[in-house]
Amino acid sequence: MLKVNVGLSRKLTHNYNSHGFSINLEGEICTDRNDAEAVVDRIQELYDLSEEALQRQIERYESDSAIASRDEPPATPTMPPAKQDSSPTPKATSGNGAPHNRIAGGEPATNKQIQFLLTLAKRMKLTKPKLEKRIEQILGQSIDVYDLTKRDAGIVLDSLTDKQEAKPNGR
Amino acid sequence: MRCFRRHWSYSAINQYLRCPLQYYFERVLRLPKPTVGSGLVLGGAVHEALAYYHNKLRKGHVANIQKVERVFAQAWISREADQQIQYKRGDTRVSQLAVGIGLLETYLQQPPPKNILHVEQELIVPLVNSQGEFLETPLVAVLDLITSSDDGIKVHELKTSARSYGQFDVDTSLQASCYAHASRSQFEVPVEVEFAVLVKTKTPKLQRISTVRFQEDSPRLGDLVENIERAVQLEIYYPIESPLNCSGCPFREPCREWAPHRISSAHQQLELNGAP
Repeated sequence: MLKVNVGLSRKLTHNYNSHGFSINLEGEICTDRNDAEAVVDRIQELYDLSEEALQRQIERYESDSAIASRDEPPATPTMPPAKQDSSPTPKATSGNGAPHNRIAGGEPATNKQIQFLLTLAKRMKLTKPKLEKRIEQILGQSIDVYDLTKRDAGIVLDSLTDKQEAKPNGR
Repeated sequence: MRCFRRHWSYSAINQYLRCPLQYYFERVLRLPKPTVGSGLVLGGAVHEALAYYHNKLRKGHVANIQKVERVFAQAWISREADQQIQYKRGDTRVSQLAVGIGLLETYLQQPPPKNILHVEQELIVPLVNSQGEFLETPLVAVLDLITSSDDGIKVHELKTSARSYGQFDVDTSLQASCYAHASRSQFEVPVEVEFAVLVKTKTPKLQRISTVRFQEDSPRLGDLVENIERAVQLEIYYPIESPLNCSGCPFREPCREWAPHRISSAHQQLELNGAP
């Protein structure tokens, strides 16, 4: 049995930076060693495999870079969400413009405040969308919980706490 | 990212997992990136052109290929003006523009998506750990395309890639976990995540591959982010050196000069900068 080591490396150079990729494959050749053509074919296969793997690795890097770029800021502002009564529609978030105007009227609630609000809502078995419905009832307008101002968060918190405190006494 | 408040995103989480030091340079120190890879520019410009196309469809209009291609070219030019594009060997501006046009044509040759609800929709939702506790920092996800399906919604994530995806890739995809969690938290309906992969082969092709996540998967995501958050608070940053990570990394020079004791003072900028 013949043992074969196949090694390939590639260096990409750009702007005085070089990026190296290399691969080493070890394989066995089970064919008759007197059959030179079969041996050469097998070696060729290993080279092709190495080449393919190396190329994939380089391309994968490029592809991963593209994936990582996904959350970078878009060049243009996005459109507001579709207005379809029967379809799930999120509250306008900061990406859609409106809440910016709203928050411009006050300092945004902190993450800590919202975390507290969500925890309180959870005790009342309110999910985020249900909490937002409750917020709409309290403030008189549809708003994402993360677009609340500090003042609004305080009002909502007071209202929820009042309701929660009222419950045991409300017999 | 358009969200003004401190938040996590898939790319931030993924960046920390891939190389904590790169995360530190980009999101804590906010070092400038002198160059950008042509793959990123291509992906971004294709996304922008397809967002235009989907928005047209959502409004019931017809978008012709020439207009979509023009949006792509404009998106490329605007990115080109912002940063120097780094091409890999054998690639040129012309060849990459041609690849982009080929990918767009491939996508537009397919039947257009139906029942479009939202295009490029930003969602901001809380993360919950396995103890049922909300994390202080929310998750922001920008979803390329959301359509309604028989029993819920389908989130379409567009990708440009050199290779096709495997089922295992999408079933273990952190991005799918983030997007499924975000959309389920917001809409409270079953969510399917479909990757529409535009494969940059000689003859471009479109691969559609789907995955699902369940309610039980969300706490795992919350635990993961909570641990990363803890690591960031403890200033745990270190390089993960590999050809995959380092070739094309814009922070190779600061990485070479990196010394952990310098991080402490610089880390005070974390709060100021609003990372992650």
